Amino acid sequence: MRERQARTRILNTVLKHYGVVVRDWSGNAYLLTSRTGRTAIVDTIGEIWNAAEQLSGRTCDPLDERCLAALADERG
Amino acid sequence: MTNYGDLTPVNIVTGFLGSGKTTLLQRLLRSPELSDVAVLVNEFGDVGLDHHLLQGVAESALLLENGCLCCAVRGDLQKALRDLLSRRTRGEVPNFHRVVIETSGLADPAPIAYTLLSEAVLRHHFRLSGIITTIDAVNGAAQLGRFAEAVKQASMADRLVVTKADLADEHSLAVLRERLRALNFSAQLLVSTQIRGNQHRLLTDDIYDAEGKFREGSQWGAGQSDEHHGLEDALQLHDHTEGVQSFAVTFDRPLDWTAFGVWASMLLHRHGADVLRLKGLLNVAGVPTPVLINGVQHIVHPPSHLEEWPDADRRSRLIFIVRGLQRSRIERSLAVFNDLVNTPAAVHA
Repeated sequence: MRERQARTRILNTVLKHYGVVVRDWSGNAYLLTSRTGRTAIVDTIGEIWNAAEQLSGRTCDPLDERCLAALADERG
Repeated sequence: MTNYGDLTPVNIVTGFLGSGKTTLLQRLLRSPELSDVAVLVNEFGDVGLDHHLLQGVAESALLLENGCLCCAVRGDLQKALRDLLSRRTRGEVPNFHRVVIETSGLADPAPIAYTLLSEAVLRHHFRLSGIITTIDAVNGAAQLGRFAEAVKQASMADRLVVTKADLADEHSLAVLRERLRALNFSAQLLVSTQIRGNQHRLLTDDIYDAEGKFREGSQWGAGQSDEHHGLEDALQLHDHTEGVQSFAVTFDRPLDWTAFGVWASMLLHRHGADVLRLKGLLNVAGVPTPVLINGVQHIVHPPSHLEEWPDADRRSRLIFIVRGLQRSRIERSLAVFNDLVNTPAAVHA
């Protein structure tokens, strides 16, 4: 459970860059919400990225320089 | 949950057209230790010639009918393995304890591994024992330069076997070795004429069982990355054909497992088709012994713990075999993700 909370925290740091918020859904799913209020529920971390791309209309790429720069800024 | 040791190991033997897969297999299957092996042969073309060659060697040889074992015909492999299982249960074939899949010369081994590791029924009965790729000493270097299939087969191998070495001169062999090292330095590189004695171990030394994992982890020494950097860089000047390269990244400080998992899932989501292999011996924060990961494209084996470190080096070592992805970007990306949880890690290029 603790690891799941930690994972959700990290996911939120990353997904903030895409305007998506993720919440743990009763410990067995993830609820994603876009800035416009659209939502998606997925079961696994592997499914999160597709859902986030559909909600944000953007490509979730950990090698994208803008994404990395934003995440580096998070750390100050 | 089936115990890992109860699963029937499956070897994938691949290699470009004419690279000597069947000859090698014929030789290996003469070993008494491999008398209980079922062989699935996938022949490209109308006549399953390889099948007839193998038939006298392995009684339970089957022939996959529809050409390459690529995604489109993966169902054939699924069906062939399921048939093999049910025939074994009914006693219609000898009680085999290992399966060898000989691919066609143009096959992509990734979907085969994917089928084994992910198919609902098969993954409860079979496990991937290792991928062996044969490379022709005379024509191999040219094939790697011209054919994407040959590059993919060599890149995905756990063991590379150079065949027909007696027909090649020393210089050609050295060039081929260097090219193979640049593509896949983490694989064991063998010359078929030098494989003697317990040659069955080429198949039976599993990559993923407890002993094999330790052995593999030991071979992924961090020093290898440094040793091959210069070579890798030099070769890339001459070989941009496929943009495949292998490299290792080491981290001094422990990795955060959760951050690593998020990073890996995002990387494989976006770039799984271009991450041919991802292997690693990780020093995970809060875990005293190393965690070993081993993935084939989108599929990563469940991580496992080794009982001890293979040497005094406690750094995490990650090995990538990638196509068209920048090493520096991967290093930076993983470092940034790891920093998200306050465990800054120094990356050593």
